[in-house]
Amino acid sequence: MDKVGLEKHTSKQFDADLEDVRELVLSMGGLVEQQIADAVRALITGEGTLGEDVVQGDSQVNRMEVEIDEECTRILARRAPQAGDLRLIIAVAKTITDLERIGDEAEKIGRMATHLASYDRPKSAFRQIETLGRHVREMLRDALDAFARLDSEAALRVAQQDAEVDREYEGIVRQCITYMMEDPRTIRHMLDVLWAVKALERIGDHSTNIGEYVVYFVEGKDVRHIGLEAMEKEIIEGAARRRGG
Amino acid sequence: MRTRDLTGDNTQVVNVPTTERPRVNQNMKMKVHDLEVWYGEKQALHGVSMDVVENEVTALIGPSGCGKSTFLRCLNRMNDLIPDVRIKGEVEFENQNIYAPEVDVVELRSHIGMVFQKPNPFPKSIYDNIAYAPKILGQVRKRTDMEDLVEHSLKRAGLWEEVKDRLQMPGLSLSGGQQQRLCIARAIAVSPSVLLMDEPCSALDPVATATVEQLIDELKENYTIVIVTHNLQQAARVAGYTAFFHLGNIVEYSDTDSLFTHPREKKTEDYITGRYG
Repeated sequence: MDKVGLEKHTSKQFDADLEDVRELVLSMGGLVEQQIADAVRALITGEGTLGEDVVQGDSQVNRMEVEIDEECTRILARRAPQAGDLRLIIAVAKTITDLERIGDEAEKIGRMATHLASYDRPKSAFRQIETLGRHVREMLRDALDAFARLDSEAALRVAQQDAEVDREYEGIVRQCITYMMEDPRTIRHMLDVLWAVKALERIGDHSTNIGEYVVYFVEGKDVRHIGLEAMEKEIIEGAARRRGG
Repeated sequence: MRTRDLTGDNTQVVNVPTTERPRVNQNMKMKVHDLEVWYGEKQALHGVSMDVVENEVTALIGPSGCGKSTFLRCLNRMNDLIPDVRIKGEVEFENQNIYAPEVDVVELRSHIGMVFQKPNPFPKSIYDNIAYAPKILGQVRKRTDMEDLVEHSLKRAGLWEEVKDRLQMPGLSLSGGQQQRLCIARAIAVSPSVLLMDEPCSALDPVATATVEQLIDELKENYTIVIVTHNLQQAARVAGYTAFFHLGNIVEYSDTDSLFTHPREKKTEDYITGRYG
């Protein structure tokens, strides 16, 4: 089978409907990405009202989720999509759920940033948080890129990054524990930091999920819960099949 | 997950992405091998091989002129009636090639019944529509047995409650959906084991269509059903297996869930998603 394409339906309106819903997902993704970037910056710098802005911004993410959901329902009801079209709508409906959750995590980080705004920051721990934040944002961007380009191999690379994110997360947790043992007065603040870091780690998981939906859409295979190795195998086989191997 | 590729040799196993379990224990009711059909100079089927699973509904889909109706009509030698037709290959039913010279075609068709696109009751009473074939085939002789058979057939076709008080009315006085169910009752009255349906719902409204589809679902307990349909949703709703025909060949034949969620062939994908042509 050739690479899944979205166009060339006999009904041009159907082409347009699918393209619209896909663009909506990408713009929702862009919004969520910005929310993470702002939340992490608020956390690292303690900058003014930025954390508060992120908290406020989440309602826009929620609105987009509802809007895209309605669009998916409409397409299912009116077009009764099949095969690749059906998989696209299913993948979109699942993707926006994860995007909305990522939005919630960003909101959580924003709230923690507000709590911690006046707190004197231990430099090294926050540098690591910055790295982790950058890393999970990259994962989300890669997942959205894979979605935009219908590229299951790119989606695989998202899943491959998750182990590294988990390691970085564990490193920060250990460091926080050290701080708390050294000076119990920091416990209150460190718990807030841990909440925020946990939220970042969860964003990595949600991005991995989005990558898995891309694989489902492109390959027609459900690669959830089968482990990275099995996922790699499925994708390599799919690519070989498309090349006519 | 592995499932059987039902095209051709039924021992062949291919990798197909599916959530279906392989149905290795199911019997094949009919086996078609390398079937070629010509209408005059024009070849309509190019060596089609396919097995029909027993007590299942198999849908044949594809664009107009793809050979699906031709294929269906070969399954009970309905094509014999067309002048200039040439048929090559084998169609096996209960381990016998139905194109073998010793086969009695009338008897064959009592085992493999057919329901057509347009409801075509005989211009007779509802009762006689059912009773006609069993009578001339000599299957039923006693009047009370015939009454039982008529009642049973109409009940199986889900029509009994609607017509039991007016069995002597002309079959043609019924509504379109009722007429089609009458034709189904007529087809099952001679106890066939296979029912061939050529777009049985295309002349019916959505309510009558739903009734016939429900009936098909119930009938598969006792019958093997092969249905040609232009309505992809109908294939998706009623069939356990679906074959996609294109230009006189089978492009893809697999369980319906796989075919409609992740077809193997690009041509299938293009057709079922409305990108054909």
